[in-house]
Amino acid sequence: MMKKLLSDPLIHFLLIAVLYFVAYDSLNPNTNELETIVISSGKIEQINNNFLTRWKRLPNEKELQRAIKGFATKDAYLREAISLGLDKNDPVINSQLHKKMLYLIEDMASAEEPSEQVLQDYYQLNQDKYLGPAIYSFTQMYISTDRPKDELDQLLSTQQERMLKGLAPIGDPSLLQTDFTDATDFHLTRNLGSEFSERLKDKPLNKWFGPIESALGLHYIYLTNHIAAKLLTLENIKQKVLIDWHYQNQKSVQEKYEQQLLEQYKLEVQMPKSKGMLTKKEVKSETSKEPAQ
Amino acid sequence: MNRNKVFITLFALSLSATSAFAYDKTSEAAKKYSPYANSDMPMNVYWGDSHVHTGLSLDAGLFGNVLVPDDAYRLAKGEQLTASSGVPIQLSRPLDWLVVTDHTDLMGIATDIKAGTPNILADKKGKEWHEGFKKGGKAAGEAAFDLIGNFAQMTLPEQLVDDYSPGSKVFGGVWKQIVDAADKHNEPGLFTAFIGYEWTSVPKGFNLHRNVVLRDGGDKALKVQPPTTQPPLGSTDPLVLYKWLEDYEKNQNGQAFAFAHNGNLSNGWMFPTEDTYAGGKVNNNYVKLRAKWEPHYEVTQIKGDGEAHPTLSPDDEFADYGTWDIGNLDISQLKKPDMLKGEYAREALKQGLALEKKLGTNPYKFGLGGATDTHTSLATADEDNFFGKSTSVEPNKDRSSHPFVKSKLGAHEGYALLASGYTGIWAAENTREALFDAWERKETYGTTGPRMRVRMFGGWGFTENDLYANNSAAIGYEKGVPMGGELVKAKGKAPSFMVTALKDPQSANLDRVQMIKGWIDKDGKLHEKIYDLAVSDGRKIDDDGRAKEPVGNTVDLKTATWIDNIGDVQLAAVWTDPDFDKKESAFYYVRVLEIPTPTWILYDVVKLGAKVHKNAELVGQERAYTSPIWFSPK
Repeated sequence: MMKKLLSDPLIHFLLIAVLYFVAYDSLNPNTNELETIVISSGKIEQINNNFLTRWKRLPNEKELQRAIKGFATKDAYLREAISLGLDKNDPVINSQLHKKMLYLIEDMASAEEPSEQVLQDYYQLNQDKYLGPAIYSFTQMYISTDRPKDELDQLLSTQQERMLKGLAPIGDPSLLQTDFTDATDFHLTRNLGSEFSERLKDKPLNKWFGPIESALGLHYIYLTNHIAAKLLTLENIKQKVLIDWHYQNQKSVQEKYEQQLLEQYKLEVQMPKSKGMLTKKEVKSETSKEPAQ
Repeated sequence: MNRNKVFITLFALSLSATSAFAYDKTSEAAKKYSPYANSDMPMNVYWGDSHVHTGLSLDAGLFGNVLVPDDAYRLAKGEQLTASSGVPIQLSRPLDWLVVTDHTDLMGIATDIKAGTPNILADKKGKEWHEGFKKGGKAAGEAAFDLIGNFAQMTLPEQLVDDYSPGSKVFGGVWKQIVDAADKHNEPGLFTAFIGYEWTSVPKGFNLHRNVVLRDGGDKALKVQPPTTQPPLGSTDPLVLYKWLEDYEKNQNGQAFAFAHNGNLSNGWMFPTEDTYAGGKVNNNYVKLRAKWEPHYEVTQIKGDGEAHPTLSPDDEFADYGTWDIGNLDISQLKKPDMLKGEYAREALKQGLALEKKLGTNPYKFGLGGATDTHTSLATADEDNFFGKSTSVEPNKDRSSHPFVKSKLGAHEGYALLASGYTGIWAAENTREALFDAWERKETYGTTGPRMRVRMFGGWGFTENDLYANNSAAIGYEKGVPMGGELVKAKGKAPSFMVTALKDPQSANLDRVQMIKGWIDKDGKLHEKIYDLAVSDGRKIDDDGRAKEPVGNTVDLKTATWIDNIGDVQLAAVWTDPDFDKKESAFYYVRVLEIPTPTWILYDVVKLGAKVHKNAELVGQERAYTSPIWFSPK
């Protein structure tokens, strides 16, 4: 029996394995060496500050020890979680890392300052963004169009006659201001609709004309001043141009970075075989949820 | 302003002492001759969104929002951008001001590396990177990649990680980014960028959020850190936020206030009358602090309209607008009718009168405004240009048919989102100071998106002639108080109100202007009543103060268009309260209704081919709510 056992190849194998492990163990003594969790002085300061914010005093020795233990426990959990791979495929973590990258790119881009020439070129290229406002001063008489057509026509022809006689037209009661003094095109758009200031262009000064249409009705106008929109000089708006340049520069740095980033990878797309490309219908939009905060 | 007046008076006095008699005779009259000199009369209404989240807010970022405060301001100022979903976007017209209200967390290390702050230079790696950045060009690029590599691998030097975690001395990167962006985009006279943040108190899913707005610039804002709500450091109790505000004003010599929103998702805890959710009592201390620190309420926004509820106001046929009635924010608890009392603005204004009688202070004496609370960085409140609550519901044809929040108990449906709202602020100029002060004196109103021009003055002797006078507003200030003001001492007669509403030139005609009155009678019972002040198209206002005939509806469901052949361009009235009792405390606020227009859901159908749930509203009447004027008998 014993002899038979001793000649069994399986037993040979097991014996060799046992010998191997004993030998390995004696050659590599278990040092029981632990990983270190460092509580740096910066961390202590941080704990102190947290405590100070909440309790308006520094922690005593016992409280500090408790906080240190708490931090160490949290850190140990974190290490354990990472070693188990729990940080993988977590949308919260992924999104945070993505965001951090974007911050870094933004900061990198903002380190660059344009030369005078670069700024000048950018300003030239984007002149339409650096127009000052067009300015108008005028008196207006409002005519409501909320009346039968015959009545409106009659009213308008009466006004024409008045103007021909050199008299001012008479308007309807209106909540709009009568006198607009140095009003910008922005202000006119705000109060009278988007096309109104366009309609005041090239009109004569110092005489009644109209009616011209706004979003609210009709208006007779006595224009006393009109200054067309002028390009602001670079000297006057340098700060604004600089801010805009930085904004655009950051966008292009990000684009370039993303391009470089993708160049470091081989893209392998595995389309579903049976269907080929997904149709729009099949790509179900994600069920949206209320943001948590 | 007052100081100017004093100065000018002194100057005039010193002149009169030394100059000829003739000057003396005319000086008093002449001094007042120019109506514009020394005038700080609020003649302009400035439009803005007081509640915008950008990609800096963790939740917004998770939804794919990659736009930062810089982008939010640029859109508000009228620029065209690309939304996070890749779609081009521009507002129909610029806003005048904006409050970015992000939540804050760590970051900011890169900025300091660039600057070479002492803690960075103390670290070997930090110093290396800083020098790399300083050299510029290729070296800067290498330093950046090394930094990014270390960051992504979480192998940054331990000391630096500590330095840039919350609580450490140099923490504050995101807050700094928010503050810097606001300071950069603040252009006094042209555009106001307020510094603010959101304090996201939401214990057990009961929405008790508050936004905080500062009057000040970065010099003061960067000396503080916004409070958090996460334990152990933070708290969800508003009393803790009030303490923060108190400390801020005292220590930084600044000014700030808070305002709440979405009482409709608080399950009755937004406007408590007995106990607070945090376990406190609505006592003397609570009502005083709440009145002091919360002079404003965000009454309408994307997550529903909070002015009135049909159950609380059964006689108000317009009360059921943007009603969110399912439960609290995360629908962990369903809504019950008895919760509504603590959720809606009109009821809170009434309860405030009762609490004032009981405790001596009215805690719910707030002005009104609207905001989006968008998490897209895009302050859109127009129905035909609505970029939703979060990047996931930026324009796409399925957004209205998918639930927005879903739990085992129920859902806030996608189609329930409201394209709302903005706040109009009456001020003399567009600066942080002027707008903030107007906000605190409650000279504001909220709308569900359109920018109608609404004024209200209350006083003791307005006449019809005052309405269309060319100096109508000046008369308003002279004879009375504007919206947000207070009337006292009735002198035996009823107060009169001068109310004017001019349509938004880029939106629809107006249906009607209403006065909403709430009061407390001598037995302590609370009441409300609606009066139509002016209605369009010559409809009749009955003896009970109401126009029963609806304005009609011109919306074409096939094309998502309407015709302005109903409704009026302007509506105005002088109204005297016919049911006034000089012994009863009361409040009066104006509601302006537009004629029916398409909702964003109908635009989605027409523009994107969306299918629509049968309960979705395709047509709605947009509206404005002014801050009240209070009458107090004392």
